Amino acid sequence: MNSDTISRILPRILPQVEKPSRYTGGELNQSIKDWDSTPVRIALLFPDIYDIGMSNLGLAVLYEIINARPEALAERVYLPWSDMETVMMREGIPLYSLESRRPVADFDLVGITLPYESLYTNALHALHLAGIPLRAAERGENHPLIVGGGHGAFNPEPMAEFFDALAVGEGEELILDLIEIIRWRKRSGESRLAATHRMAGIWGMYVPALYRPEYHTDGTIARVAPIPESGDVNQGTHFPIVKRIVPRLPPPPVRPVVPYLETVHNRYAIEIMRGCTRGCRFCQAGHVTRPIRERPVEEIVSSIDRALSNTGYEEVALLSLSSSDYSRITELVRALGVKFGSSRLRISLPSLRIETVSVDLVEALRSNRGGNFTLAPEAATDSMRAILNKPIAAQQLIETVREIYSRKWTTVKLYFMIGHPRETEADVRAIAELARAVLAEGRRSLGRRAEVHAGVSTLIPKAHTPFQWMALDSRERILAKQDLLRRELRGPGLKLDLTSPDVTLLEAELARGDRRLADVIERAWRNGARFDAWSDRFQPAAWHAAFEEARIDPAFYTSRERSADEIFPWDHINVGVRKDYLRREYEASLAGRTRGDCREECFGCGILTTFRELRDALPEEAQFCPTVRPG
Amino acid sequence: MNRYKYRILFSKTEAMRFTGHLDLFRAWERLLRRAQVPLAYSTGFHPHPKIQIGAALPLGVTGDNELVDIETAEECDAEALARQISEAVPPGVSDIRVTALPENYPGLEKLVVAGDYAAVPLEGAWPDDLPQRIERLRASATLPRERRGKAYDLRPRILSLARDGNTLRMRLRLEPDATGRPDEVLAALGMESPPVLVGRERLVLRESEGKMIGSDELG
Repeated sequence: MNSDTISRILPRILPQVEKPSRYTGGELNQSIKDWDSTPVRIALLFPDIYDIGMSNLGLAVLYEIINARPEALAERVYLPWSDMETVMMREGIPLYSLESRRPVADFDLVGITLPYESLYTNALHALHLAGIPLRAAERGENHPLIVGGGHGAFNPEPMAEFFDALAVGEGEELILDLIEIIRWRKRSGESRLAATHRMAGIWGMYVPALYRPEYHTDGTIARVAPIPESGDVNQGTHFPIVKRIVPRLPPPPVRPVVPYLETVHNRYAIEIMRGCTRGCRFCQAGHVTRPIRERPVEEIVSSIDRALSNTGYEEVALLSLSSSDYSRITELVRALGVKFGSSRLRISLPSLRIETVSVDLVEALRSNRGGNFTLAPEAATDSMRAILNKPIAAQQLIETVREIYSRKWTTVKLYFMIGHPRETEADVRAIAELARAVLAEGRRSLGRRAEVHAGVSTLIPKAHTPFQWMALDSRERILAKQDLLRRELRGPGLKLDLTSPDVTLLEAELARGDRRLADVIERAWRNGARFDAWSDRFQPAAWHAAFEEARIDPAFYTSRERSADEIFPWDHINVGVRKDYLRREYEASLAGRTRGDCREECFGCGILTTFRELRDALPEEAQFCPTVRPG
Repeated sequence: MNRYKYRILFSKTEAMRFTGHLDLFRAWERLLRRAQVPLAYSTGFHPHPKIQIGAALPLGVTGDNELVDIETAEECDAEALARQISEAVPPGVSDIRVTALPENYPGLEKLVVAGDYAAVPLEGAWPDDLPQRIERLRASATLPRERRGKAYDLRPRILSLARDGNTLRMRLRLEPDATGRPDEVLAALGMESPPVLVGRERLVLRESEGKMIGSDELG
């Protein structure tokens, strides 16, 4: 089926489905380039529906970079919702791109982002709907190259069999290398195999077929290393695979596609800073996105200005892992006030530290008044805060919420995390007590209008974090802790939101798994698992059956405390943070020792040594990491 | 605070025909922001821009002379507004015409009473017995139908219905609690979700002293 046929059928079938503008494309700022005269054709695929995928910043960044290149084009692809899928099946329409309505299989390269594990079955489903074989080994010369990316690529092994290559790290410059690979391949008629071998030579690219895991008899990994017998073609493979970074943040997108449909985050989003220096021990993003790089205030203000005239957005989100740590935050807020103060622009500044200054900052933006104010204390006792490395004095939290309520925000949202194996009943109970103490502060200012919403997630010991040696809390213990919270954290003005333990377990299995999980994921998909991130679609039974059919015990991945010297499935992926540093941090957590902000004192995480040359080549004001004495 | 009122005529074309009413509202807000129109806002915690779109278009239906009223905080020149807005339109909005209105001019909800629709088959042709079906429909005193679980009589909502070559034309009421939908008319003619393209050619307004005027005569 070609694009003309798809375009002819759509007007007839779209009236039959919910929210048809998910499937039409044609929005403001979309880029349609001439197919025939553009040699490099890339589909950017978010493996969920339009409403979710359109808010993904990573793909928006790549979309603008690719389409700015004369030799390349990028088009967007999202999964259809089940009603549209049924109609597409009936009409024989394959998964297609929104811009030119081309079948995905017609592109040279399909980039699939894997920002979280519950999208893994959707990625397979997308390949299936596109008519592309699921496994890299089954694809032929004429199938597109399937390249994964996003945070899922930091442990690429569970999805390794399905991808020709995975991009580890940041894509802004890596994508240009990929464009060059495709351009050369199309000019030279190079084979698929040769192209993937050349991809393996790109900094940050992982071509799973060129690496083989070996196992000990107890099932643990002996090593994952390049396959030696692939001989001379294989010389380019890296070991380990060092993640790609950009030494300084390139200019942000300023002409994003503006959806007509309401999407999860329908606003202009701009990254003000990448990386984090806080070292919260549960946080994968905080470790894998190092080093910290700030975007200059002037560039942020002028980019927002340009983006607003290109989009008309009425809301801007300033994104980072910890906005308070942006070194010129006060200056930025002041500059935004001067520039946009009179334009009725809502500006959101998420991820603020728990201190009264944060309330001043948000208030200075004059946004979001009367709504929610979100804080993430994560734990409610000093001992748990020391373990997680999120030290916040209870008094400081109370003073902060007092400021929040006194300035007429009616709802404080608190994020907590349960599930550390050392967590006691008292630690969990303290979460409920803290939430009630916060509500009591609110009542003092606002009476019965004050509310507290507590979101309590369950800790997953993620790859490349100090907790990677740790076992996940057992299902029984998680349930018991959640029951305790349900009993203790209730009443007028209190709302509790818990993550289902089945979802947590699945995410942990996939996040911590190795290459053998490919069979499980494929079987789960064949058993009907998809849209695992949607609570009404998630089918734990499909997954249980898949593990049984594949004769794999999920507990092997989640409920073992790993020995200090165990080789992890992701150890050949080097994020710049050293394993011995993570181990020291893990031991420090068990001893209840905290670490401060590494911008004040370098703790030797490894980033500086890994990327020293890049750093030293930068002008001084753009250099990341503090200057430290060697050794 | 002074308020200035403008009535904008526009076309909602193919690229936006599957965009619903609320989404169209947001598209207009963004369009006016891009065009740097000094919009007036409501007061309160969550101020809304003063934008009012005339009768909602059913999903999938294009519109040729659609109406939107806006209020601005500063006085603008109607022609300059039309120019600014035309330069900022997204795909699917075109044909911008602007007129200034007196401050107390009634809102669109008070003026719009009907819409003229034209339906043409996407592929193939109308059934051979379409004239007979139209006659039967016009001869019926009532047309009981159900929409979203609510029973209603479609007949009084059809003001006219006729075939004009390959085009089926209908004038349907567009009043609160009495909105005739073209897909309902087609269904009443025995065509459930047929492959047709429907366009609303104009809105019909009841001006002072009961005079009826088509929106295409406003620009």
